[in-house]
Amino acid sequence: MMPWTLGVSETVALRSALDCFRCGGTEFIQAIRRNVSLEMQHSQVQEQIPLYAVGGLTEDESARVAQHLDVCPSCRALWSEYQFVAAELLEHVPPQIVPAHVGARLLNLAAADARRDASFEKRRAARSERARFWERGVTMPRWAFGLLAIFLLFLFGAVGAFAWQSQKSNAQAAQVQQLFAARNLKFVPIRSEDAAANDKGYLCLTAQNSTGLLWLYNLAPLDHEHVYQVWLRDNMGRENGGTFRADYDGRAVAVIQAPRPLGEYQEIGITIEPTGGSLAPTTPRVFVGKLD
Amino acid sequence: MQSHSAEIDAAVVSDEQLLVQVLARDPAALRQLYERHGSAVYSLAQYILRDAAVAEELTQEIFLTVWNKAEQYQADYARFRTWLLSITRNRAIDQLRRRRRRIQSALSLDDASVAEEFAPLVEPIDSQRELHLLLRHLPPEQRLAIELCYFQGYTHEEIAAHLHIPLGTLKSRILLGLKKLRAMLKDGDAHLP
Ligand SMILES: [Zn+2]
Repeated sequence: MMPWTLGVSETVALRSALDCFRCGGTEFIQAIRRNVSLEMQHSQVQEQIPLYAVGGLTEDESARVAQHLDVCPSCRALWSEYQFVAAELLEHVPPQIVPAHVGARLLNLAAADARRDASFEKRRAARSERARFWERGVTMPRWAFGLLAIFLLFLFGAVGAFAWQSQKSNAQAAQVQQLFAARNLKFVPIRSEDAAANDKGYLCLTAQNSTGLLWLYNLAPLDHEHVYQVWLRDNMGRENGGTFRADYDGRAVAVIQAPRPLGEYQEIGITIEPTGGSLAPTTPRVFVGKLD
Repeated sequence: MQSHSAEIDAAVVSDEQLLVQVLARDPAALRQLYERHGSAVYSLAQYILRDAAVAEELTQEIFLTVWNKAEQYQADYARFRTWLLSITRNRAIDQLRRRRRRIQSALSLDDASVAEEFAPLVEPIDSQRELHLLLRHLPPEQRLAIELCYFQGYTHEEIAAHLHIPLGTLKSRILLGLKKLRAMLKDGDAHLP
């Protein structure tokens, strides 16, 4: 690229102009320099625009062109012509027939997405209604109060025996206390997936609280390689509710920490997973409870 | 009667209007966009990647981008279709470059492997395919330069080295070719396919 140089007549003109603008001379020169550099840029950029349109410039060069395009309408007009060339090149390739399964798969994915979005909206709308349901409180049969008393005794025994030794557990204990102080505490029966089998226990929860207490009995003891894992399910999918083990008598008390208030879930499920837990269930569900 | 009027509506609705419906998560709008532009996206992906299975994947990926990130469409692209094809080109070329890097790290970068890499381009394109290319209007050396840079994603340095020509010569070939195409398109589409 040729550098921009002042010709003789321009130098003379500049000198005489400088004589006139002696006081503001520096500003004048700066203004001229700005124009000169814009002018230089303009001719350089004009040459680069075709390459810019087809992505053939380095990052630095592209940035400089883009900067110039911001201030120069005539370069922008030229650019849009070369954008058209670039677009036409992409249009004119040998046409191929897309296999039908590509569109089918795409539209299936989109439709499933849309259904999920719609049910999310519905769930949001239903949430207020469900809140009302929870506010009605729970009617517990009389035997359930007896059971609750036994349960609390058992719970506090369990607390003393093995559950809360650490600071974290203290925090959990406080949450459980808070849970039990709630007026609208609800007991959800947990049943075995096997219809013939007995109830397995209860999940104690309130709709607003994300902490719940799971109390289970008659569990099959697991070896060291396996744990029970809790899953909480709603319309959007499934979330991990943590893992627990049963004691030698087949009993387990587990504090569940859900990501959201438990009233927002529809179902609790329990699977047997490798020690440490899984990201998603790897075995069929063994126990289930309906939360709504 | 109803389905008839729906068809008329479909013909009238612009891509940009459909895009607004896509933003509102309407799968029917995505279906229409796919019906209008799916084969152009697939053909371009296939032309650049020369692999039907990979082109299928990319086509789906591009339309899922439309579905999930329709807001990324920038109005400074004159048309939606232009934007769609340009992101298809960018992603296809990214894949080509990744593929090349894998080949290069597997082979030592001697002349033989570089020649092998360029090999598909030397392949004659059959006349049926040729018919559709805008590039066929250009002299072979300009056409090859643009093909390598625009459709194969090689840098100017790589192309100049491969063709054994100075960088300046390469750039002027590309420029000349593009200027010729611009003049041709400006004249009107009379001698275009
Ligand atoms: Zn300019």
